[in-house]
Formats: sequence, structure tokens, C-alpha cells
Amino acid sequence: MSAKKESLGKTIGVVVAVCLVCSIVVSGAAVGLRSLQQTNAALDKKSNILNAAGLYEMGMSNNVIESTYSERVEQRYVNLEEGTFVEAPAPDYDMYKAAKQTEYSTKVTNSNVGFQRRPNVASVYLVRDDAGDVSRIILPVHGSGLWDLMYGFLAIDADGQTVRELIYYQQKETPGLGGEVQNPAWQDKWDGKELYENGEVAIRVVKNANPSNPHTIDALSGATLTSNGVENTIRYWVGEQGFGQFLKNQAWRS
Amino acid sequence: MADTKEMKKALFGPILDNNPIALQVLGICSALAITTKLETALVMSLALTSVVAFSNLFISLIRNQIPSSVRIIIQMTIIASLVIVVDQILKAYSYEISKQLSVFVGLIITNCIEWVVLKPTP
Repeated sequence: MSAKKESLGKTIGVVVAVCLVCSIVVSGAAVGLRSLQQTNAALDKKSNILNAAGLYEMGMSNNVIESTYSERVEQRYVNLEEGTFVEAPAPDYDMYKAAKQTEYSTKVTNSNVGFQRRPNVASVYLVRDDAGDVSRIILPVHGSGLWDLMYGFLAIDADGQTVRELIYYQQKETPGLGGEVQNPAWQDKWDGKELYENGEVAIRVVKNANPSNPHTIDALSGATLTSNGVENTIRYWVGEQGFGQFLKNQAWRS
Repeated sequence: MADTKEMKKALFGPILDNNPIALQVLGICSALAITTKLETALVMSLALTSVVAFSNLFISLIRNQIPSSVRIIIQMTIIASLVIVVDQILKAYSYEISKQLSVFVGLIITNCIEWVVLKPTP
């Protein structure tokens, strides 16, 4: 019995059979559940946008998230260089995928934001109040932290100057140190800060920031590199190469 | 009555006399990270139980066919596949919790390696 069990052919046969069955089961699960997972991921993104819009409440059901989002939030596309609204360059346009294609993106210069190319056309989310006027603009921002790129939403008032929220929704920073970028207490520090002073990007993340200074945010203690990453990210995205021209044009007013 | 005694031993042994976390000091990292909330702890224990139960089932089904030279690798393959399936199901049906559990569902496999390597089945 044991001699037969140990033969080379038998061993290879068993290994191949087990691998085949396992791979069918795994790929079956992955393919069969993909649509549900994508719905979940899209919903998660919407709830993060609502969070940045200040419309999110704990325990909102999926339907409420969907309906609030479609009522109050509008996704538009912005040509970053000219700062104007444009049509989506392609159906299902994704700015993060576009950044990887040379014909849709531009090289990043003079910044240590942590990625090489930025898309020419970026998404923005316009939040409207009950009267239908734009009350907040939500800009998608990303840049490197200590370990990996951090993705977030920066919500700005309709004046194009005052920060309301900075919500990171995907980051791999050290929990308890850099991971505190998701701490609501730290997020609250961004509320009311001002991006520009005399037309120049003035926002900074510094140690022992004076809370009454509208241009500085207190850095996270024990997470200098993450704090620097946040500063680079925000300064890049509200600067000339990012949404600077768009915020100057205030295209949402027309 | 020996049966009841056996069953009691199988049921309470791993909790009291041979607790993997407190006495064998295995899987500490996952246990500490997961048990900060009741909800995540319950989902994690469900996930772990189903992975252990099904891997036990499938490995028992084919244990007479497994050549001993590749025994551990085959067991790992089966456990890893089950862990991936559980992870996918969690991502599909309870996205919030799967985000909180993050890598620790995947780490079930690491703890299984510890158990398999430390307690080889004959």
C-alpha cells in the first residue's frame, strides 16, 4: 500500500488534481462574487464622498447613501491645465487608470508627491445645497505617505479657498501613528483652514502649529513622514499642476 | 460514559487546558488585533471555524490518497483556497467588517501553518 502511495506518478497526479480543484473553487468564488464586491466598493466610495461633503451620518443604509449621493453630489471632469470643465474623455473614465497611460497624463515635475504622472483630466465632485447652488467642491487627492500612496478627498468651500474636510479612504500607514490621518480629531483640524495667501499655496503641516493660524495644521506626532506626505499631497493638488487653475477659475460658479 | 468524557475533553480541552492563545501562545497577533470589537471578533471566529471545519472535511476525505512527501503542501493548498473563498465572501456580503479585519483573514493561513507544523497528523 505505502509503496504504491509514494510512487512519483501518483504523487504528481494527486498534486495536480488538488491544485486543479482548488483553483477552480477560488476562481469560481472570485468571479461569482465580483459584481457584489464592485457594488460594495462603489458604495464605499460614495459614502466617503458624502463624508467629505458633510452629509454622512453613522448608520446610513445603502439606499439612503445612494439617494443622498444622487440628489446632492454631481461628478464632473476637469481639465487640470486649463481649469475648465470638460466632458469625460471616455465612458467609465478613471483618473487613476488614465494616469498610467502616456496619452492621458503629464509628468509630475518639482514635487515629491510620490507618483510620476498625473492625469490630464481629473474628477471633481460638486456638492449642492437644497437651493441647488454649489456648496462644496470635493477634490480627489493622492500622494505617498510613509509606506504607500494614500488616497483621499479634500472638501473645499465654494469660495475655492477654505478647507472643510480631508478624508483619507485608502492608506497603509502604521496604525496608531500615520494611520491617525483617519482619526476624526485630526480631520477636524482641517476645518476652516485656508489654502492660499495672496494667490500662493500657503497651507502647511507643521509641528506645534498655532491653531489660530489659518494656514497651518498641527502635524501628527510620531508620524513625521506621513505628515510630510500629507503636506506634499495637498500642496501638489491645490497647486499649479493640480487643481490650482480650476480653483482660481471657480468654474463651478458659471 | 467514556464517550461523554471524550466529548467533554474535545469540547473544553482547547478552551481550558490547551488554549492556543493563552497557553500555546499561537496566533497572538491576529487575536489581539481582532478582538477590539465584538462584531469583528464574532465574524473572525465564524470565518476561522468554517475554514478549520471545511479543511478538516476535505483533507479527511482525501487523506488516504495524499502522498506523505507532499502532505503539508497539499494541506496548505486546501486551507489557503478556503481562506481566499472566505475572504471573497466577506468582501461581497459584509464589506465594512472585511475592511476592519483587513489582512487578518488572510493570516488564518499562517496560524494553520503553525498548527499543522506543530501538530502533524499521522
